[in-house]
Amino acid sequence: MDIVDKAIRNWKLHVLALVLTVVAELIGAKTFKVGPGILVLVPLLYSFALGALCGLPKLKILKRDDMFEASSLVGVTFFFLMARYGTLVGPSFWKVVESGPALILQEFGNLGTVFFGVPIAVLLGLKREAVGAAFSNAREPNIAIIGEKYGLDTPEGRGVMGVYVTGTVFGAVFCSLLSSFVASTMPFFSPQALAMATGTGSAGMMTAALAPLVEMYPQIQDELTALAAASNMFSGLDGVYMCVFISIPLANWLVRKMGVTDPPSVPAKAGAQEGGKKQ
Amino acid sequence: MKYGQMAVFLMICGLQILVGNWVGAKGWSGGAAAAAQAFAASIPGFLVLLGIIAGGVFIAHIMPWKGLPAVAYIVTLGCVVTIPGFPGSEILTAYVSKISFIGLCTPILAYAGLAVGKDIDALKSQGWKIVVVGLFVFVGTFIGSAVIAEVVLRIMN
Repeated sequence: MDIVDKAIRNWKLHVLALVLTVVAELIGAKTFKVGPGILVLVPLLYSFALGALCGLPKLKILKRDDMFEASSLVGVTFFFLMARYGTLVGPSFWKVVESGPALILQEFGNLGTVFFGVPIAVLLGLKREAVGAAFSNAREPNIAIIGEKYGLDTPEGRGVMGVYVTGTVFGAVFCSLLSSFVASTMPFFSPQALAMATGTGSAGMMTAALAPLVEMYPQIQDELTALAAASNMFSGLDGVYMCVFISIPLANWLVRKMGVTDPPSVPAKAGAQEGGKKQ
Repeated sequence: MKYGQMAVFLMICGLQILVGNWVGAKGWSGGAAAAAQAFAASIPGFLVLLGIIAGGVFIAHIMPWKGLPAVAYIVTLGCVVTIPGFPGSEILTAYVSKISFIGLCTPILAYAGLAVGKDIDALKSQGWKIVVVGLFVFVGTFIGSAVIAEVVLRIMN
């Protein structure tokens, strides 16, 4: 019996997920005033946080095996999300096409990633790790790029994996708080531009960041959702090129400017590694 | 994951989405008959989503080029069948609109949350510095993208 079979038969997981869903939906969306901004908390954040709490070793609710089984199911849950997202883009298709230039160009937002991330990383004492950590927001395609260019068992690889895991653990909650804070304190940004900016991460991060915008602007929620989903699709298409040709060279240049002189890592002989895997 | 396993789990997960959707819309208020009706009203939308998923998985299966994951075909198919002008797009859109898209994520993120414990261990071995860098990276990406999107939108209008 493989892990997916075990996961599907693990009734504890399904009952827990159902209970968490019901509890989260009963609490409902809540809005808080925090300083100058507004924080919008939505049910998907509660169900995620409560689920993470179930994993605390002290509570003895979930074993490590349960967690690995749960993670084998996560990929398929996103099928529903992507199907629903597609059906949100369709009705607003022509509106999205009109916003095409903005959707494509905002991929240059990765420059912001590099200029925010690399200096902080170097100041904290990271060296070549800074390149992997701060050239992108480290979603799956970005890991593949670093893996191919430098190898994952290198400083660059540890950097990208570290930010990837950070995103998995904190990304949804953090991006949701970030977008509700920016939307409520920085009037320069239109909700449409913010919706596009939510699309740069994973589908989970996008939804968590989009939810407060939808709560704040219910009258244009379909448009915002369509823009976010379209932005997420574009990121998947042009993001790879942007990373390879612009943000990795830029991160490398900035790291040297900040005084890191270590040479870039060279991946271990790829051929030998793959040969090993095939057997 | 095998297709059979996928089908079984999609039914389990779909049931949770239906229940979550019903609770989120306060489907129990208004008596038993109204509650049952509210639940039943979301079933066609659920079936449409299942159909789109099945279609996307099928396309991914028959494509000779395996460079794209099934979700890419699912989202594209979902988009195409609801573009105004596609035969039946209005009915499909009306059905799926009964399923709240933010509510759809509540059970999905419940599974993600249940799985996250193993990643916390991995994070501990990476150290706190990488977490700080990661959070700055997300701020930089979000603000950077929003600035460019805003500027381009203003130039275009």
